[in-house]
Amino acid sequence: MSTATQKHGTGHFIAERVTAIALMVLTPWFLISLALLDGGYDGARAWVGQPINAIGVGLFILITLYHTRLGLQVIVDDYIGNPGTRGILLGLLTVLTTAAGLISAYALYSISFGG
Amino acid sequence: MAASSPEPNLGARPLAPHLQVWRWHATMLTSILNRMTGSGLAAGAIGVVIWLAALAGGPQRFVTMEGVVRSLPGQVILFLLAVAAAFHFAAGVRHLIWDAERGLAPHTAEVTAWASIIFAVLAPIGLWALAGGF
Repeated sequence: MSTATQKHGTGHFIAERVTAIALMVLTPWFLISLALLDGGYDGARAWVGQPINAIGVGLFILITLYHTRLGLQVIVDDYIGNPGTRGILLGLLTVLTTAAGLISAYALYSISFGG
Repeated sequence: MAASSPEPNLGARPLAPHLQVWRWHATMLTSILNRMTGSGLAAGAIGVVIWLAALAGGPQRFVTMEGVVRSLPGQVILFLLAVAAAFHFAAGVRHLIWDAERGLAPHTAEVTAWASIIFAVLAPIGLWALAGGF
């Protein structure tokens, strides 16, 4: 079995950079907003409750997870020589990041429309 | 290996230079730090998902989560994650500049390596100042 980045190197390279550029805008926005956030639970609910912020948080988390998936894949490809172990780890990585994305999407949906 | 081996000088050849014989450079440190901070930030990403899930889960869950984050160990971990985020951000900017075939000269790379280390410490301090102190 070949490593995943072996056959999709160019796509991986471009995706890593496109997500990086998006995160260079979204991460400072998210962290500064959180630092300025006041009022505990109610304040946080009100902030995420704004549609523009909900979209921003959703994009921030999903793009972060995708970028994480790409980066950790390179580390697995570099250090794990055994093809079986590598395949299991990459599969696990996909499952975990997808699950985290689905949980976030559901949480955002329930905050925005759950009342 | 048999004595009739066609390879000359077997056993008497110099070894390839390994990590420990290189003079230390800031660029070496920042190279591995980019990987280490990236891996650490994977845990940070899960933390953000937990924050959002707690927010969706109601006031009680959110207060529990906030208690953990505001405890001393929680604040130390959060600060280290902020340092990792700032460093990984700076390292990403450096990589994009290198992709444009700029900043690759050894001295320039050394200067931007130190700049990213300094930024990694200063940016989180600024963030905590925004939040109203430590």
